[in-house]
Amino acid sequence: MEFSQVCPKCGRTIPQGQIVCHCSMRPRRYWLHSRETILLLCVLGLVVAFGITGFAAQLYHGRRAELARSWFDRGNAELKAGRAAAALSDFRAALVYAQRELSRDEQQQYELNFVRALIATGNSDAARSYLLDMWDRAPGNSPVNLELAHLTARMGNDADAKRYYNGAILGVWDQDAGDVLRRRLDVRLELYHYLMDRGEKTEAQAVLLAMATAIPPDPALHAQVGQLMLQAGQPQQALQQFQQALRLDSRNYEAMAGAGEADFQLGNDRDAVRYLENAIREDAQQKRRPGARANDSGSRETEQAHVVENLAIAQATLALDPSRLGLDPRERARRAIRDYDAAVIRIESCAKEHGIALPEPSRNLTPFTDAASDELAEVTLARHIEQLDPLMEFIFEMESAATENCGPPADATNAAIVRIGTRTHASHT
Amino acid sequence: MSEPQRPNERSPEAEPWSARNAEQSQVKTEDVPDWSAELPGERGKSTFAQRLKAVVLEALERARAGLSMREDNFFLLLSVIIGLYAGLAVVCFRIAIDYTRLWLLGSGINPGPIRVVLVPTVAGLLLAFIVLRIFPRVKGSGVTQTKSAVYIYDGYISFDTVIGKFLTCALAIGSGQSLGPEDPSLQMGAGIASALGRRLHLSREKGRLIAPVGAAAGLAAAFNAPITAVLFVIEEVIGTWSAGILGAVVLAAVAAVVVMRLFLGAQPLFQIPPYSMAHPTELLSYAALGVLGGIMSLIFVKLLRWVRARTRRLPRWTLYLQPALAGMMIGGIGLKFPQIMGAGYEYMDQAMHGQFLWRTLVALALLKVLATSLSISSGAPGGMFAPALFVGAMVGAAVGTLQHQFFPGAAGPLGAYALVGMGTLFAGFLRAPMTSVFMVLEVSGNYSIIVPVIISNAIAYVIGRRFQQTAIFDLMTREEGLDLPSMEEGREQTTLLVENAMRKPAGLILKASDLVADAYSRLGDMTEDPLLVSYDTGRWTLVHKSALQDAARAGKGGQPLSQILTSGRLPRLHPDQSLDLALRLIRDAPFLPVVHRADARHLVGLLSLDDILAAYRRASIIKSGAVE
Repeated sequence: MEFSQVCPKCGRTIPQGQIVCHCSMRPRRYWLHSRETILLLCVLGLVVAFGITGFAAQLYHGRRAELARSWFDRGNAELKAGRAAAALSDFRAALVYAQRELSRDEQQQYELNFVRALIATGNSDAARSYLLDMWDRAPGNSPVNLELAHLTARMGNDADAKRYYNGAILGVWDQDAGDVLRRRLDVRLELYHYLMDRGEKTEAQAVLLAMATAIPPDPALHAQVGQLMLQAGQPQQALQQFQQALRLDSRNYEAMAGAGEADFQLGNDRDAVRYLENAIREDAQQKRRPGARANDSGSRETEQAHVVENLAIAQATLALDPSRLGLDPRERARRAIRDYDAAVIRIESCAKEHGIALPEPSRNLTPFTDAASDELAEVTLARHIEQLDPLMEFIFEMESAATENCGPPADATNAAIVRIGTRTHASHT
Repeated sequence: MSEPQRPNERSPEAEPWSARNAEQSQVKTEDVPDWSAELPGERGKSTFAQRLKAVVLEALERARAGLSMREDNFFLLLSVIIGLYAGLAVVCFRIAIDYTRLWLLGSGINPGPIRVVLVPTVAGLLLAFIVLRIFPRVKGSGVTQTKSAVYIYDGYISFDTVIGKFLTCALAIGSGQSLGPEDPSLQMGAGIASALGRRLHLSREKGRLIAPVGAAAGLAAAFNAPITAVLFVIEEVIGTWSAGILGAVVLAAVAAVVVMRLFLGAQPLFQIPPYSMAHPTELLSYAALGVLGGIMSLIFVKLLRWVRARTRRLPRWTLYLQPALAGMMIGGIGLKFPQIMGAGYEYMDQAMHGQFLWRTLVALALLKVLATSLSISSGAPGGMFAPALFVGAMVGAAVGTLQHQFFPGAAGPLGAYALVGMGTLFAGFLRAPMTSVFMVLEVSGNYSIIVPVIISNAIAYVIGRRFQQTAIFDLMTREEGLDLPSMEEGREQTTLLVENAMRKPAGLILKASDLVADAYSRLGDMTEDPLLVSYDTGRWTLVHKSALQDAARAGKGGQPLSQILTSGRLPRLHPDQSLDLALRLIRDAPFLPVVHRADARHLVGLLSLDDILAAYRRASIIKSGAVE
């Protein structure tokens, strides 16, 4: 057979009638032909081959990485231009070249953009499936969890959305430590808004409390969190955040206004007045600076009006509250009678407008309510100071009736009376 | 300075290497070139430079002799070098394929329609010319050619084949033919090994084994999976677990993978999430995947055979057009499904990550089978590993998608289904059951998936074997007119055992402690001769009646038998040992004792040469009856 005549050593055909090939008959005399020398040459050849292959591989990787980035950029441009289908194809190509060439972070970014393109083309199920696959590969990856949270929230799956939001908060962000804190805070804020939108206030408050423990030393952030806490009905925690912000930046207007508001809500009128006055002063100073806060002047003015209003109410409360400590009976009586007069004016005005019946005072109170003059009423009440609380109860009853029929008080005095009444009522109950 | 051949000089192949090595390790003065010999007319002009040259050369020769090592150690070192070379070749091959694809089809996922049809067609024409005119040996499967090298050509694979495979396969796969790079990588590795083996004057025995070593290295680099490559070469090329070759194969495979990972990254071929079984009933879906994988394997083999049979019947001149026609048809399919073009690894990855609907996945699997059958049958060079994996991945992902859709509570990661699907095709189509299991584990780097893999692969393998007796590589080998040993058939052959041939012990069995006189008296009119004698230690020997008789007459009747026994220890057998071993042990003994494994003194049977031959005769009658 033909193949039996091929020399296994040199591969040449052995001539007919010859048993051994020429190559075997030739004496190997030179050290150059020894197998050790050839082995050594092979090793040298390897070094050269390694060099050449390394060079080729470097070019190859560079080219693939370049292609990945160029397809990714093209995909982003297509996505921005609203051509989601083209973007999808571009991202797919980018992903093919990115594999093994780019860092894991970059690859993940490519994958997330691919998912966004899928969503943009209406393939939410495919996007979810892809994201779940990414999640399976890295369950603790925060960007993937966040993207899943967005998608599941959009699809109306609240339980999963909350789970993925929490996964994003507690998961791993492949960024610098400072950025990670910021990202986590952003996700917490997002989750907070998501929960508030769904009316889950308790959970939202829990998110805020958790967030408060992880805020980096940034006055604006503290003030922002404080505002959210105020919105969520947590004035005490909000106050702490505003105070922290003021420790970091003593001239932070938002923190001053927020602390004033928090103190106002907590009933700390003296502190509220102090913070609110400082806020107004700081605002005036900032306004004096040329070009300052030109962009958001509208919202700032609304905020400023609210601050002024609160300040007026707080000041009025301080001036009208008969139950404040350290007041002598005469002063308490004087304040109560002033409160009564203001309440009577409001309820009579309201009664005129809406035709409601005026509340009648009890017999015990008539010496004060029907007194000839305010001074006489004050003297009488000072003598019978034990009637102060029933009188204040009656005043609050009038204010409540006015509020019920004619809306909240427009006047700072009446608002302060309502505040005092509410507080007194709360302390009694 | 040539020297006439010494009359008694032997061919290096004619003697064992150890003997040659011993000779070579000694510095023979006649082998050292006599550079310092003075030329006529230059007598007395010996310069210092010439003397220095001679000294240096002698030192080099001494160093060479000092470096020389035993053949086995040399073979292992050579395996590492082969692995490194094969790894480098495969890295360059992968880069060449990618660049070819980029140049010919562009970097986008969906090349333009003209390009999709035109490129494989024109490249097909070029391929046909190169294959038929320049590198005719690159045609055919690398596995088959490596086996041919081992069993027919004493490990010879020409280096032309390596170059040809590199160029033509890069062009074929890069231009969109539905073929894979693993088979060519395997053959390139084998070719490099063969060339190095020849250059290094390996003995015939080692030279024959060197090609599988290179094949394992090439395949390991292609799959980035050394265990898979080693198992495949053992399972499909060599066929036996021989300690002599195993070390070399493993070293070469590991060296190749190290090179591959150094240049192309250490990540596994596919990245799938860690597998955990969602519910025990999920195994049912894997069983279903095994059935589907088996059926798809059958479709693949049958279609490939059918298309090959038809293309082989076409006139010879059509060989120049077949790759182009196949390319045109594949391009036509590629207009709608570009995923089936080329090796398709990126699409396997996409299928694993749920980027296709189940209908698309099924369509891709069927179209890939068609496209690969066309490519292989047209004579375009390339391998079937990647297409088989592609089909498996698509089938697996389709099953996984349906499972997620209908039984989401009992569905694991989709990637796991695709991966197991790959294993089913490896088991059912390529018929390498062990390799298929380890391939899945290794390419995913995920060992928790083993239970589903074993279930699916076993089912696919059984279906494949039940309905297609001959494996695809064996079919292709036979179609090429070669008669290479089928590893699968070898595995399936039943081995005849001693228990199939032995007969029950009969007659007198003596003990070594018996007295000669007693033993002689018990002989009576017994016809058997010689007689078995057992020692308390479990040793057995024979004694002839005449020896007993002589001893008794010589007055040694009072002595124990052990004193007069002259014959040596008799080899003993166990019922579960092979008749082949018995044949080798029996030599000229009339029979051998078959003893119990737990107690060597307990005789369970006797085995003679006639018994062995009778057993083989019976077996051949039964086999021929079954064949008829």
